[in-house]
Amino acid sequence: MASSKEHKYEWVDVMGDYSVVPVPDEALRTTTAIFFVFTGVLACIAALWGGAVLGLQYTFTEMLWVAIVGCLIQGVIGFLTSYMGAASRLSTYANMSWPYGRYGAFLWGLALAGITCGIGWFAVETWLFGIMMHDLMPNNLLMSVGVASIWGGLLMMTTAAIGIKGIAFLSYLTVPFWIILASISFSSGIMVGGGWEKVLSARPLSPAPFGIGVAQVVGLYIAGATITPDVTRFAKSRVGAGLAWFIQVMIVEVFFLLGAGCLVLATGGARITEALLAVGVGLGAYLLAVLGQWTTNDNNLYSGALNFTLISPISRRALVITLGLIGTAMAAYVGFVAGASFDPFIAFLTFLGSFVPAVAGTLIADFYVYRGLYKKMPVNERYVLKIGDKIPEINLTGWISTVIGGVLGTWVITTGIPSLNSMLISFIIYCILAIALDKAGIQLVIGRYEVTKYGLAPRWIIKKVEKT
Amino acid sequence: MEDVRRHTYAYLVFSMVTSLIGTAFGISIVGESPYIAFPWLLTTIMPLITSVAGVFRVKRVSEPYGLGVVSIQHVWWVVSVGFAGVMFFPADFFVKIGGMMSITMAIISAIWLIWGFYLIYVVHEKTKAPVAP
Repeated sequence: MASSKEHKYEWVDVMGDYSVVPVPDEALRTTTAIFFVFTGVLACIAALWGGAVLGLQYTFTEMLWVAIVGCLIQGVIGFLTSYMGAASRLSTYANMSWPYGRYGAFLWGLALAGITCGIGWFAVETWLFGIMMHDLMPNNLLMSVGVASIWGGLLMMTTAAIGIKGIAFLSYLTVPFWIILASISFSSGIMVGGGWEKVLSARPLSPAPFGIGVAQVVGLYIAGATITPDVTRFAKSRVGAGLAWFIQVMIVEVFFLLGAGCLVLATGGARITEALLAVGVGLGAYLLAVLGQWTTNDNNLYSGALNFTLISPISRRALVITLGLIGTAMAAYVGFVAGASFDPFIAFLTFLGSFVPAVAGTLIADFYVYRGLYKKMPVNERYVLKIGDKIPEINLTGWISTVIGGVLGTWVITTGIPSLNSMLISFIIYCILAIALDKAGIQLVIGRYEVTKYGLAPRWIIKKVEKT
Repeated sequence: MEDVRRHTYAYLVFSMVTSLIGTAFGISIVGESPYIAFPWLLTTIMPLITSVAGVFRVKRVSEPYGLGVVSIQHVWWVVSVGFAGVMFFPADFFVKIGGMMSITMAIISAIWLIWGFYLIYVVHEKTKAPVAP
């Protein structure tokens, strides 16, 4: 067993960065490193814009509660998925092989993480980067939305191509820096806008019900909460991995949301980088934008490429470069054609926030309820890859629960928080379906894949490797 | 490995003392401008906490690799804060209120940054701990 110290590591990592095999002991990282990588993902302009949206809809006290409740939901979901990743030492998509089957993991991963979080989110963040650069220097050709998207996208691709080492390095350098620069932006913006008294007495421009705000907060980072195993598979401690996620969400995210929201209450707009420019921290404003997007987007690309390693004939690094170039081209296209329109981002965020949690619901139900409470399997044996084991190619139980949960939560049920509805429905359906089918002795499985020393690597890669 | 431990101690104690001085500076401007004092204090309290914790953790580790991991982790916090300090302490907004205190903190931040980078390199070379453990 790969996770056991007394056994020799028996896997061959043909795809790179342990994409389709368990992470070995010597590659594990501390809880601090996991915390920094997570916070690096969170530290981005989009998170501050999320806070700015709250500032348009709520008073300070309402905003505080919306942020706390939304982040608590994300915190709990992310804790559970983080713990799962640290226990299995496998990526999100490899973990999904159990409830969805290997092809199911790829297809669902492709729809929800490979395209959405991978190319899709990468493209959106790269485009946002272009907008930010253009706002900072509107008359410079290199800073036009399209051109900045191109060089920004290429820059973000570099650390993702290096892998977890590159991502962790950039996060260590950036995280405290970014928190401080963001705090300067908040405090100077509030001061210029009329001070703390104005923040406390300000009325929101477009008031909204409590649940809408919570849904927006949950939707902002729920995709991240779902794919935490991509990072926590490198964690030394299972509980540490969960806490790294929970703490960054409950402290750092609440701080970002409230800070940006207060800026809006004081000034009427989310002038995050403008506030830094106004107080003479010009280079800081640029670095806030560049490093913030970079630490987030390299993770998006890294995670998206991991999904493709399940079926792709090329290495993880080649996948990162290919997907990065496609995402950059998409961002540049939108930048050149749509300019600084904000609409695609909002539509994208809304869909993402509603549908993705259904996958998290299925995964959590399978790992904690079906295999944990029902089958009574020990934590480190629930998702364990063993040579010779046969994993389903398609497991319809996961498909059914996720489709129903996602569709009902996103389009049918109109009350409550859509993202939470999707997650809870798929969670409940999976628990009922998996346990009932097991009791009836029925398996909704198509095909079996035998695990070899190459882990979950595609068969043609294995053949190619064995020939050479 | 004692030279690595001593070097890390020296850096963390320096950061502890200078961040304490910086905190005193920050407190002195709270009355004049709490909006400037807030990021100022965040910049000084963060390395203060991580340096104090680092001194205790470095003391407890005996094997070289573990010592390298703990040292590099704590040094990174101070380096990153130093990076931010270099960016904003010299800005007019801070110098107008902080005067020489702001200039002093900019110099201290630069030392945190440069010395920290060098120390990470040295610890990595001697202990083989990852640069981002």
